[in-house]
Amino acid sequence: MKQKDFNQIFVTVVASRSAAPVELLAQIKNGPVLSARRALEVYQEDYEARLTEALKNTYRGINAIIGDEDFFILSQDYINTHPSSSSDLDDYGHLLSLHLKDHQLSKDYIFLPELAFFEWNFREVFHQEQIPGLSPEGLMACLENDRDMLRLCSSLRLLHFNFLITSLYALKDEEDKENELIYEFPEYVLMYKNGVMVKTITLSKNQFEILKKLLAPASLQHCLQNAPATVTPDEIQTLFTILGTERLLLKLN
Amino acid sequence: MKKIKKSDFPGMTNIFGLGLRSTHYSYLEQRPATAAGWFEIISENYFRTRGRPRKTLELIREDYPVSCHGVSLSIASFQKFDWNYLKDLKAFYDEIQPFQVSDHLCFTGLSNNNLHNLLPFAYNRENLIHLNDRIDQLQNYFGRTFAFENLSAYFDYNNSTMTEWDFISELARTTECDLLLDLNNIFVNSFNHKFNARDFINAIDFSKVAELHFAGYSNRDGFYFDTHSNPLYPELIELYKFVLEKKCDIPVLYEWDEDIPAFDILEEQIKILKSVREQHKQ
Repeated sequence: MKQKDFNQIFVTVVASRSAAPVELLAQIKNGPVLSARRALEVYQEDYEARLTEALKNTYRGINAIIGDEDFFILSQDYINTHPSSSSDLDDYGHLLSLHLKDHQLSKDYIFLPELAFFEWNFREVFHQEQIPGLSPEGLMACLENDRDMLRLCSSLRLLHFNFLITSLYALKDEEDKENELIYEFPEYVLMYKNGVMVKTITLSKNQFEILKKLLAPASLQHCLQNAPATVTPDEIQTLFTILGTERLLLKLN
Repeated sequence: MKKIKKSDFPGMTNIFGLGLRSTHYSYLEQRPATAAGWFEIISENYFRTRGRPRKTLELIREDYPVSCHGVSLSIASFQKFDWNYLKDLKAFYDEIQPFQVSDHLCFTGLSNNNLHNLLPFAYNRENLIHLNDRIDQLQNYFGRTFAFENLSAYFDYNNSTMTEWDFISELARTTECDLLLDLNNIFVNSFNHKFNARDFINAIDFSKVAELHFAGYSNRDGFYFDTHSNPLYPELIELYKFVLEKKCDIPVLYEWDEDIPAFDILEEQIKILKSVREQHKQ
Protein backbone atom coordinates (compact mmCIF):
# COMPACT_ATOMS: atom_id res chain seq x y z
CA MET A 1 0.00 0.00 0.00
CA LYS A 2 1.27 3.49 -0.84
CA GLN A 3 1.95 5.77 2.12
CA LYS A 4 -0.59 8.25 0.78
CA ASP A 5 -3.35 5.61 0.85
CA PHE A 6 -2.24 4.34 4.25
CA ASN A 7 -2.49 7.85 5.67
CA GLN A 8 -6.10 8.19 4.50
CA ILE A 9 -7.23 4.91 6.05
CA PHE A 10 -5.16 5.36 9.20
CA VAL A 11 -6.61 8.82 9.91
CA THR A 12 -10.17 7.58 9.37
CA VAL A 13 -9.68 4.59 11.67
CA VAL A 14 -8.01 6.63 14.41
CA ALA A 15 -10.58 9.42 14.29
CA SER A 16 -13.56 7.06 14.27
CA ARG A 17 -11.97 4.82 16.90
CA SER A 18 -13.28 1.91 14.86
CA ALA A 19 -11.78 -1.55 14.38
CA ALA A 20 -8.88 -1.53 11.95
CA PRO A 21 -9.45 -3.16 8.57
CA VAL A 22 -7.23 -6.10 7.72
CA GLU A 23 -5.45 -4.20 4.93
CA LEU A 24 -4.36 -1.51 7.38
CA LEU A 25 -3.13 -3.97 10.00
CA ALA A 26 -1.18 -5.77 7.30
CA GLN A 27 0.96 -2.64 6.85
CA ILE A 28 1.86 -2.41 10.53
CA LYS A 29 4.57 -4.55 12.07
CA ASN A 30 3.73 -6.46 15.22
CA GLY A 31 6.31 -5.03 17.59
CA PRO A 32 8.11 -6.80 20.41
CA VAL A 33 6.09 -4.82 22.99
CA LEU A 34 3.00 -3.65 21.14
CA SER A 35 1.04 -5.66 18.62
CA ALA A 36 -0.14 -3.85 15.49
CA ARG A 37 -3.68 -3.74 16.85
CA ARG A 38 -2.61 -2.42 20.25
CA ALA A 39 -0.34 0.20 18.65
CA LEU A 40 -3.29 1.45 16.66
CA GLU A 41 -5.38 1.64 19.82
CA VAL A 42 -2.66 3.77 21.44
CA TYR A 43 -3.16 6.36 18.69
CA GLN A 44 -6.95 6.11 18.96
CA GLU A 45 -6.90 6.64 22.73
CA ASP A 46 -4.44 9.49 22.41
CA TYR A 47 -6.59 11.20 19.78
CA GLU A 48 -9.65 11.09 22.03
CA ALA A 49 -7.66 12.26 25.05
CA ARG A 50 -6.11 15.23 23.23
CA LEU A 51 -9.37 16.52 21.78
CA THR A 52 -11.26 15.98 25.04
CA GLU A 53 -8.59 17.91 26.91
CA ALA A 54 -8.83 20.76 24.39
CA LEU A 55 -12.62 20.94 24.93
CA LYS A 56 -12.16 20.84 28.70
CA ASN A 57 -9.73 23.74 28.57
CA THR A 58 -12.17 25.94 26.67
CA TYR A 59 -15.41 24.81 28.32
CA ARG A 60 -14.48 24.78 32.00
CA GLY A 61 -17.86 26.18 33.00
CA ILE A 62 -19.78 23.41 31.26
CA ASN A 63 -17.41 20.78 32.64
CA ALA A 64 -17.91 22.07 36.18
CA ILE A 65 -21.70 22.01 35.90
CA ILE A 66 -22.30 18.69 34.17
CA GLY A 67 -19.35 16.84 35.74
CA ASP A 68 -16.56 14.76 34.20
CA GLU A 69 -18.72 11.78 33.27
CA ASP A 70 -21.27 13.73 31.23
CA PHE A 71 -18.56 15.97 29.83
CA PHE A 72 -16.78 12.88 28.55
CA ILE A 73 -19.97 11.70 26.82
CA LEU A 74 -20.49 15.15 25.34
CA SER A 75 -16.88 15.26 24.13
CA GLN A 76 -17.14 11.85 22.51
CA ASP A 77 -20.32 12.87 20.67
CA TYR A 78 -18.71 16.10 19.52
CA ILE A 79 -15.44 14.46 18.47
CA ASN A 80 -17.37 11.82 16.48
CA THR A 81 -19.12 14.47 14.41
CA HIS A 82 -16.58 17.31 14.35
CA PRO A 83 -13.07 16.46 13.15
CA SER A 84 -10.48 19.17 13.65
CA SER A 85 -9.31 21.10 10.61
CA SER A 86 -7.21 23.65 12.45
CA SER A 87 -3.45 23.60 12.92
CA ASP A 88 -3.93 24.64 16.53
CA LEU A 89 -5.53 22.16 18.91
CA ASP A 90 -6.67 25.07 21.11
CA ASP A 91 -9.02 26.11 18.28
CA TYR A 92 -10.97 22.91 18.63
CA GLY A 93 -14.62 23.13 19.72
CA HIS A 94 -15.96 26.28 18.06
CA LEU A 95 -19.24 24.56 17.11
CA LEU A 96 -20.03 23.11 20.52
CA SER A 97 -22.79 25.63 21.18
CA LEU A 98 -24.56 24.61 17.98
CA HIS A 99 -23.96 20.93 18.72
CA LEU A 100 -25.53 21.32 22.16
CA LYS A 101 -28.79 22.72 20.77
CA ASP A 102 -29.96 19.23 19.82
CA HIS A 103 -28.06 17.31 22.45
CA GLN A 104 -29.76 15.15 25.09
CA LEU A 105 -27.83 16.95 27.85
CA SER A 106 -29.50 20.24 26.95
CA LYS A 107 -32.84 18.76 28.00
CA ASP A 108 -31.56 18.57 31.59
CA TYR A 109 -29.41 21.67 31.36
CA ILE A 110 -31.40 24.01 29.14
CA PHE A 111 -28.77 26.78 29.30
CA LEU A 112 -25.86 24.69 27.90
CA PRO A 113 -25.88 26.06 24.32
CA GLU A 114 -25.76 29.62 25.69
CA LEU A 115 -23.03 28.78 28.19
CA ALA A 116 -20.98 27.22 25.40
CA PHE A 117 -21.49 30.34 23.29
CA PHE A 118 -20.33 32.49 26.22
CA GLU A 119 -17.23 30.35 26.80
CA TRP A 120 -16.22 30.35 23.14
CA ASN A 121 -16.55 34.15 23.03
CA PHE A 122 -14.49 34.34 26.21
CA ARG A 123 -11.76 32.34 24.50
CA GLU A 124 -11.89 34.58 21.40
CA VAL A 125 -11.66 37.80 23.40
CA PHE A 126 -8.79 36.34 25.42
CA HIS A 127 -6.75 35.96 22.22
CA GLN A 128 -7.62 39.40 20.85
CA GLU A 129 -5.28 42.34 20.97
CA GLN A 130 -6.41 45.11 23.27
CA ILE A 131 -6.51 48.41 21.42
CA PRO A 132 -7.32 51.15 23.93
CA GLY A 133 -10.21 53.31 22.83
CA LEU A 134 -11.21 56.83 23.75
CA SER A 135 -10.39 58.20 27.20
CA PRO A 136 -13.22 59.72 29.33
CA GLU A 137 -12.15 63.18 28.07
CA GLY A 138 -12.17 62.01 24.44
CA LEU A 139 -15.59 60.54 24.96
CA MET A 140 -16.91 63.81 26.40
CA ALA A 141 -15.62 65.69 23.36
CA CYS A 142 -17.41 63.25 21.04
CA LEU A 143 -20.66 63.76 22.91
CA GLU A 144 -20.60 67.37 21.80
CA ASN A 145 -19.84 66.65 18.16
CA ASP A 146 -22.46 64.91 16.07
CA ARG A 147 -19.99 64.26 13.24
CA ASP A 148 -17.67 62.03 15.31
CA MET A 149 -18.46 58.47 14.37
CA LEU A 150 -17.69 55.85 16.99
CA ARG A 151 -17.75 52.09 17.15
CA LEU A 152 -17.10 49.38 19.72
CA CYS A 153 -13.54 48.03 20.08
CA SER A 154 -12.97 44.76 18.21
CA SER A 155 -11.92 43.01 21.41
CA LEU A 156 -15.39 43.59 22.82
CA ARG A 157 -18.49 41.39 22.68
CA LEU A 158 -22.06 42.44 23.31
CA LEU A 159 -24.00 39.33 24.26
CA HIS A 160 -27.62 38.62 25.05
CA PHE A 161 -28.70 35.46 26.87
CA ASN A 162 -31.99 33.99 28.06
CA PHE A 163 -30.35 32.80 31.28
CA LEU A 164 -28.03 34.25 33.90
CA ILE A 165 -24.96 32.94 32.12
CA THR A 166 -22.27 34.82 34.06
CA SER A 167 -23.60 33.38 37.32
CA LEU A 168 -23.66 29.88 35.81
CA TYR A 169 -20.11 30.38 34.51
CA ALA A 170 -18.95 31.54 37.93
CA LEU A 171 -20.04 28.20 39.41
CA LYS A 172 -16.80 26.67 38.12
CA ASP A 173 -14.92 28.52 40.84
CA GLU A 174 -17.33 27.66 43.63
CA GLU A 175 -16.79 24.79 46.03
CA ASP A 176 -20.46 24.10 46.65
CA LYS A 177 -22.16 23.74 43.28
CA GLU A 178 -25.28 22.29 44.88
CA ASN A 179 -26.51 25.73 45.97
CA GLU A 180 -29.64 26.39 44.04
CA LEU A 181 -29.23 29.10 41.47
CA ILE A 182 -32.28 30.69 39.93
CA TYR A 183 -31.00 31.34 36.47
CA GLU A 184 -34.12 31.74 34.35
CA PHE A 185 -33.74 35.46 33.73
CA PRO A 186 -32.36 37.17 30.67
CA GLU A 187 -28.90 38.66 30.90
CA TYR A 188 -27.15 41.33 28.80
CA VAL A 189 -23.39 41.07 28.92
CA LEU A 190 -20.51 43.29 27.92
CA MET A 191 -17.34 41.20 27.54
CA TYR A 192 -14.02 42.87 26.86
CA LYS A 193 -10.28 42.75 27.20
CA ASN A 194 -8.86 44.23 30.38
CA GLY A 195 -5.08 44.05 30.27
CA VAL A 196 -4.36 40.43 29.47
CA MET A 197 -7.55 39.22 31.16
CA VAL A 198 -11.20 39.11 30.05
CA LYS A 199 -13.78 41.06 32.01
CA THR A 200 -17.58 40.83 31.90
CA ILE A 201 -20.16 43.33 33.04
CA THR A 202 -23.91 42.76 33.20
CA LEU A 203 -25.86 45.56 31.52
CA SER A 204 -29.47 46.59 31.72
CA LYS A 205 -31.59 45.98 28.62
CA ASN A 206 -31.63 49.72 27.93
CA GLN A 207 -27.85 49.97 28.14
CA PHE A 208 -27.57 46.98 25.85
CA GLU A 209 -29.88 48.63 23.28
CA ILE A 210 -27.82 51.82 23.30
CA LEU A 211 -24.57 49.90 22.77
CA LYS A 212 -26.10 47.80 19.99
CA LYS A 213 -26.31 50.96 17.91
CA LEU A 214 -22.51 51.19 18.06
CA LEU A 215 -22.00 47.78 16.45
CA ALA A 216 -22.09 49.83 13.26
CA PRO A 217 -20.34 53.21 13.41
CA ALA A 218 -22.63 55.89 14.84
CA SER A 219 -22.37 59.18 16.66
CA LEU A 220 -23.03 59.29 20.40
CA GLN A 221 -25.76 61.84 19.83
CA HIS A 222 -27.50 59.45 17.45
CA CYS A 223 -27.27 56.64 20.05
CA LEU A 224 -28.72 58.79 22.80
CA GLN A 225 -31.44 60.33 20.66
CA ASN A 226 -32.56 56.82 19.68
CA ALA A 227 -32.21 55.32 23.15
CA PRO A 228 -35.19 53.38 24.58
CA ALA A 229 -37.82 55.70 26.06
CA THR A 230 -37.50 54.05 29.47
CA VAL A 231 -33.76 54.69 29.87
CA THR A 232 -32.83 56.57 33.04
CA PRO A 233 -30.08 59.20 33.46
CA ASP A 234 -28.41 56.83 35.90
CA GLU A 235 -28.24 54.05 33.31
CA ILE A 236 -26.66 56.42 30.80
CA GLN A 237 -24.23 57.78 33.37
CA THR A 238 -23.10 54.29 34.43
CA LEU A 239 -22.76 53.10 30.85
CA PHE A 240 -20.60 56.02 29.78
CA THR A 241 -18.45 55.76 32.88
CA ILE A 242 -17.67 52.13 31.93
CA LEU A 243 -17.05 53.00 28.27
CA GLY A 244 -14.71 55.85 29.22
CA THR A 245 -12.74 54.32 32.08
CA GLU A 246 -12.32 50.98 30.28
CA ARG A 247 -11.69 52.77 26.94
CA LEU A 248 -14.07 50.64 24.90
CA LEU A 249 -15.02 52.97 22.05
CA LEU A 250 -12.96 53.79 18.99
CA LYS A 251 -13.29 56.96 16.98
CA LEU A 252 -13.29 56.58 13.20
CA ASN A 253 -11.16 59.00 11.24
CA MET B 1 20.13 28.77 3.10
CA LYS B 2 20.12 31.12 6.08
CA LYS B 3 21.48 29.48 9.22
CA ILE B 4 21.15 31.41 12.41
CA LYS B 5 23.63 30.14 14.94
CA LYS B 6 23.74 30.66 18.65
CA SER B 7 26.81 32.85 18.11
CA ASP B 8 24.35 35.31 16.53
CA PHE B 9 22.97 35.72 20.03
CA PRO B 10 25.79 37.18 22.09
CA GLY B 11 23.67 36.79 25.21
CA MET B 12 23.38 33.04 24.76
CA THR B 13 26.17 31.78 26.95
CA ASN B 14 23.92 29.19 28.55
CA ILE B 15 22.90 26.44 26.11
CA PHE B 16 20.29 24.92 28.43
CA GLY B 17 16.72 25.96 27.68
CA LEU B 18 13.19 25.26 28.86
CA GLY B 19 9.83 24.93 27.14
CA LEU B 20 7.65 27.99 27.79
CA ARG B 21 4.25 26.87 29.08
CA SER B 22 1.21 28.90 30.21
CA THR B 23 1.39 27.36 33.70
CA HIS B 24 4.46 29.51 34.34
CA TYR B 25 3.30 32.81 32.80
CA SER B 26 2.48 34.47 36.11
CA TYR B 27 5.89 33.60 37.49
CA LEU B 28 7.88 34.52 34.39
CA GLU B 29 6.00 37.78 33.82
CA GLN B 30 7.77 39.03 36.96
CA ARG B 31 11.03 38.55 35.03
CA PRO B 32 12.91 36.54 37.66
CA ALA B 33 16.47 35.35 37.06
CA THR B 34 16.19 31.74 35.86
CA ALA B 35 18.50 28.80 35.19
CA ALA B 36 17.39 28.83 31.54
CA GLY B 37 19.61 30.31 28.85
CA TRP B 38 16.78 30.30 26.33
CA PHE B 39 13.15 29.30 25.88
CA GLU B 40 11.40 27.19 23.32
CA ILE B 41 7.79 27.78 22.38
CA ILE B 42 5.25 25.65 20.55
CA SER B 43 4.71 27.95 17.55
CA GLU B 44 1.02 27.07 17.14
CA ASN B 45 0.25 28.28 20.65
CA TYR B 46 1.54 31.76 19.84
CA PHE B 47 1.50 32.62 16.16
CA ARG B 48 -2.16 33.56 15.80
CA THR B 49 -2.94 34.98 19.20
CA ARG B 50 -2.58 38.58 20.29
CA GLY B 51 -3.57 37.77 23.85
CA ARG B 52 -1.64 36.91 26.96
CA PRO B 53 0.47 34.12 25.39
CA ARG B 54 1.86 36.57 22.83
CA LYS B 55 2.41 39.33 25.39
CA THR B 56 4.29 36.96 27.67
CA LEU B 57 6.38 35.71 24.76
CA GLU B 58 7.28 39.28 23.81
CA LEU B 59 8.42 39.87 27.37
CA ILE B 60 10.47 36.67 27.41
CA ARG B 61 11.98 37.58 24.05
CA GLU B 62 13.34 40.80 25.51
CA ASP B 63 15.44 38.76 27.95
CA TYR B 64 16.14 35.45 26.20
CA PRO B 65 16.80 33.92 22.79
CA VAL B 66 13.76 31.96 21.67
CA SER B 67 13.39 28.87 19.54
CA CYS B 68 10.12 28.11 17.69
CA HIS B 69 9.09 24.48 17.66
CA GLY B 70 6.07 23.48 15.58
CA VAL B 71 3.68 20.54 15.77
CA SER B 72 1.49 21.04 12.68
CA LEU B 73 3.77 21.34 9.68
CA SER B 74 2.98 17.75 8.67
CA ILE B 75 6.10 17.59 6.54
CA ALA B 76 5.55 13.92 5.68
CA SER B 77 2.00 14.49 4.47
CA PHE B 78 1.06 13.72 0.88
CA GLN B 79 -1.34 16.66 0.79
CA LYS B 80 -0.38 20.17 -0.27
CA PHE B 81 1.13 22.48 2.30
CA ASP B 82 -1.36 24.66 4.14
CA TRP B 83 -0.05 27.92 2.69
CA ASN B 84 -2.11 30.11 5.03
CA TYR B 85 -0.48 28.35 7.95
CA LEU B 86 2.99 28.79 6.42
CA LYS B 87 2.35 32.46 5.65
CA ASP B 88 1.31 33.19 9.23
CA LEU B 89 4.22 31.19 10.58
CA LYS B 90 6.68 33.11 8.41
CA ALA B 91 5.31 36.45 9.59
CA PHE B 92 5.57 35.21 13.17
CA TYR B 93 9.22 34.20 12.71
CA ASP B 94 9.96 37.60 11.21
CA GLU B 95 8.52 39.22 14.31
CA ILE B 96 10.00 36.97 16.98
CA GLN B 97 13.37 36.32 15.30
CA PRO B 98 13.94 32.86 16.74
CA PHE B 99 17.50 31.51 16.76
CA GLN B 100 16.09 28.17 15.69
CA VAL B 101 12.94 26.86 13.98
CA SER B 102 11.90 23.26 14.03
CA ASP B 103 9.10 20.72 13.64
CA HIS B 104 8.75 16.95 13.56
CA LEU B 105 9.45 14.23 11.00
CA CYS B 106 5.87 13.07 10.75
CA PHE B 107 2.44 13.66 9.31
CA THR B 108 -0.33 14.91 11.60
CA GLY B 109 -3.48 13.84 9.80
CA LEU B 110 -5.37 15.16 6.80
CA SER B 111 -6.34 18.75 6.06
CA ASN B 112 -9.96 18.12 7.03
CA ASN B 113 -9.09 15.82 9.92
CA ASN B 114 -6.07 16.86 11.94
CA LEU B 115 -5.34 14.19 14.54
CA HIS B 116 -3.04 16.61 16.41
CA ASN B 117 -0.58 13.82 16.85
CA LEU B 118 2.87 13.13 15.44
CA LEU B 119 2.37 10.14 13.17
CA PRO B 120 5.09 7.89 11.80
CA PHE B 121 5.67 6.91 8.19
CA ALA B 122 7.58 4.06 6.56
CA TYR B 123 11.34 4.46 6.41
CA ASN B 124 11.95 3.69 2.77
CA ARG B 125 13.36 5.24 -0.38
CA GLU B 126 9.99 6.49 -1.64
CA ASN B 127 9.38 8.52 1.51
CA LEU B 128 12.96 9.76 1.56
CA ILE B 129 12.53 11.26 -1.91
CA HIS B 130 9.15 12.69 -0.91
CA LEU B 131 10.57 14.35 2.20
CA ASN B 132 13.56 15.71 0.32
CA ASP B 133 11.19 17.45 -2.04
CA ARG B 134 8.93 18.80 0.74
CA ILE B 135 11.81 20.06 2.88
CA ASP B 136 13.34 21.82 -0.13
CA GLN B 137 10.02 23.55 -0.87
CA LEU B 138 9.61 24.55 2.73
CA GLN B 139 13.10 25.88 3.28
CA ASN B 140 13.03 27.80 0.02
CA TYR B 141 9.78 29.47 1.04
CA PHE B 142 11.10 30.43 4.47
CA GLY B 143 14.63 31.16 3.30
CA ARG B 144 16.02 29.43 6.34
CA THR B 145 16.99 26.03 7.67
CA PHE B 146 14.56 23.95 9.70
CA ALA B 147 15.55 21.32 12.23
CA PHE B 148 13.44 18.15 12.22
CA GLU B 149 12.83 16.04 15.27
CA ASN B 150 12.78 12.26 15.49
CA LEU B 151 9.51 10.84 16.84
CA SER B 152 8.25 8.54 19.49
CA ALA B 153 6.45 5.98 17.34
CA TYR B 154 4.40 3.08 18.62
CA PHE B 155 4.64 0.99 15.48
CA ASP B 156 6.87 0.46 12.51
CA TYR B 157 5.80 -0.41 8.98
CA ASN B 158 6.23 -3.70 7.23
CA ASN B 159 7.44 -1.81 4.17
CA SER B 160 10.17 0.08 6.00
CA THR B 161 13.43 -0.83 4.34
CA MET B 162 15.71 1.25 6.58
CA THR B 163 16.12 1.75 10.29
CA GLU B 164 14.88 5.07 11.67
CA TRP B 165 18.45 6.24 12.27
CA ASP B 166 19.62 5.33 8.77
CA PHE B 167 16.63 7.16 7.31
CA ILE B 168 17.27 10.27 9.38
CA SER B 169 20.99 10.26 8.65
CA GLU B 170 20.31 9.91 4.94
CA LEU B 171 17.75 12.71 5.07
CA ALA B 172 20.19 15.02 6.83
CA ARG B 173 22.86 14.13 4.29
CA THR B 174 20.66 14.73 1.24
CA THR B 175 18.85 17.91 2.30
CA GLU B 176 20.00 21.11 3.90
CA CYS B 177 17.84 20.54 6.96
CA ASP B 178 19.20 20.15 10.47
CA LEU B 179 18.26 17.56 13.04
CA LEU B 180 16.64 18.02 16.38
CA LEU B 181 17.56 14.92 18.30
CA ASP B 182 15.09 14.00 20.99
CA LEU B 183 16.92 11.61 23.30
CA ASN B 184 13.73 10.78 25.19
CA ASN B 185 12.10 9.66 21.93
CA ILE B 186 15.12 7.57 21.02
CA PHE B 187 15.01 5.94 24.43
CA VAL B 188 11.24 5.33 24.33
CA ASN B 189 11.53 3.78 20.86
CA SER B 190 14.53 1.69 21.88
CA PHE B 191 12.44 0.16 24.64
CA ASN B 192 9.25 -0.31 22.61
CA HIS B 193 11.00 -1.58 19.48
CA LYS B 194 13.93 -3.26 21.23
CA PHE B 195 17.04 -1.70 19.74
CA ASN B 196 20.14 -0.19 21.25
CA ALA B 197 19.75 3.58 21.60
CA ARG B 198 23.49 3.98 21.13
CA ASP B 199 23.26 2.44 17.65
CA PHE B 200 20.88 5.27 16.78
CA ILE B 201 23.20 7.94 18.16
CA ASN B 202 26.26 6.39 16.51
CA ALA B 203 24.62 6.68 13.10
CA ILE B 204 24.02 10.42 13.38
CA ASP B 205 26.27 13.07 11.87
CA PHE B 206 26.46 15.49 14.79
CA SER B 207 27.50 18.39 12.61
CA LYS B 208 23.81 18.38 11.55
CA VAL B 209 22.35 18.29 15.05
CA ALA B 210 21.08 21.73 16.00
CA GLU B 211 19.30 20.88 19.25
CA LEU B 212 18.73 18.14 21.80
CA HIS B 213 15.43 17.47 23.58
CA PHE B 214 14.96 15.80 26.92
CA ALA B 215 11.72 14.89 28.72
CA GLY B 216 10.27 12.28 31.04
CA TYR B 217 8.20 9.44 29.59
CA SER B 218 5.60 7.26 31.39
CA ASN B 219 5.40 3.52 31.73
CA ARG B 220 1.92 2.56 30.57
CA ASP B 221 0.94 -1.08 30.89
CA GLY B 222 4.31 -2.37 29.80
CA PHE B 223 5.22 0.11 27.11
CA TYR B 224 6.86 3.51 27.34
CA PHE B 225 4.69 6.46 26.38
CA ASP B 226 6.09 9.86 25.49
CA THR B 227 4.09 12.02 27.90
CA HIS B 228 6.63 14.72 28.88
CA SER B 229 5.31 14.33 32.39
CA ASN B 230 8.26 13.30 34.52
CA PRO B 231 11.70 14.38 35.65
CA LEU B 232 14.87 13.27 33.97
CA TYR B 233 15.52 9.53 34.13
CA PRO B 234 19.06 8.17 34.77
CA GLU B 235 18.98 6.37 31.40
CA LEU B 236 18.69 9.72 29.63
CA ILE B 237 21.60 11.13 31.58
CA GLU B 238 23.67 8.19 30.37
CA LEU B 239 22.58 8.89 26.80
CA TYR B 240 23.53 12.53 27.19
CA LYS B 241 27.01 11.50 28.35
CA PHE B 242 27.27 9.38 25.22
CA VAL B 243 26.25 12.35 23.05
CA LEU B 244 28.73 14.63 24.80
CA GLU B 245 31.52 12.38 23.58
CA LYS B 246 30.49 13.33 20.06
CA LYS B 247 29.63 17.01 20.47
CA CYS B 248 29.15 19.09 23.58
CA ASP B 249 27.93 22.53 22.51
CA ILE B 250 24.49 21.61 21.19
CA PRO B 251 21.61 23.62 22.72
CA VAL B 252 19.66 21.42 25.12
CA LEU B 253 15.97 21.70 25.98
CA TYR B 254 13.91 20.16 28.75
CA GLU B 255 10.18 19.80 27.98
CA TRP B 256 7.36 19.17 30.43
CA ASP B 257 3.79 19.11 29.09
CA GLU B 258 1.55 17.08 31.39
CA ASP B 259 1.11 17.53 35.14
CA ILE B 260 3.42 20.51 34.82
CA PRO B 261 5.17 21.28 38.12
CA ALA B 262 6.45 24.57 39.56
CA PHE B 263 9.11 26.31 37.49
CA ASP B 264 11.94 25.46 39.90
CA ILE B 265 11.37 21.74 39.25
CA LEU B 266 11.98 22.38 35.57
CA GLU B 267 15.08 24.38 36.40
CA GLU B 268 16.32 21.40 38.42
CA GLN B 269 16.31 19.27 35.27
CA ILE B 270 18.54 21.58 33.29
CA LYS B 271 20.81 22.09 36.29
CA ILE B 272 21.38 18.31 36.34
CA LEU B 273 22.14 18.30 32.62
CA LYS B 274 24.39 21.30 33.01
CA SER B 275 26.40 19.57 35.73
CA VAL B 276 26.70 16.42 33.56
CA ARG B 277 28.18 18.58 30.84
CA GLU B 278 30.52 20.37 33.24
CA GLN B 279 31.80 17.05 34.53
CA HIS B 280 32.35 15.87 30.97
CA LYS B 281 34.37 18.97 30.12
CA GLN B 282 36.68 18.32 33.06
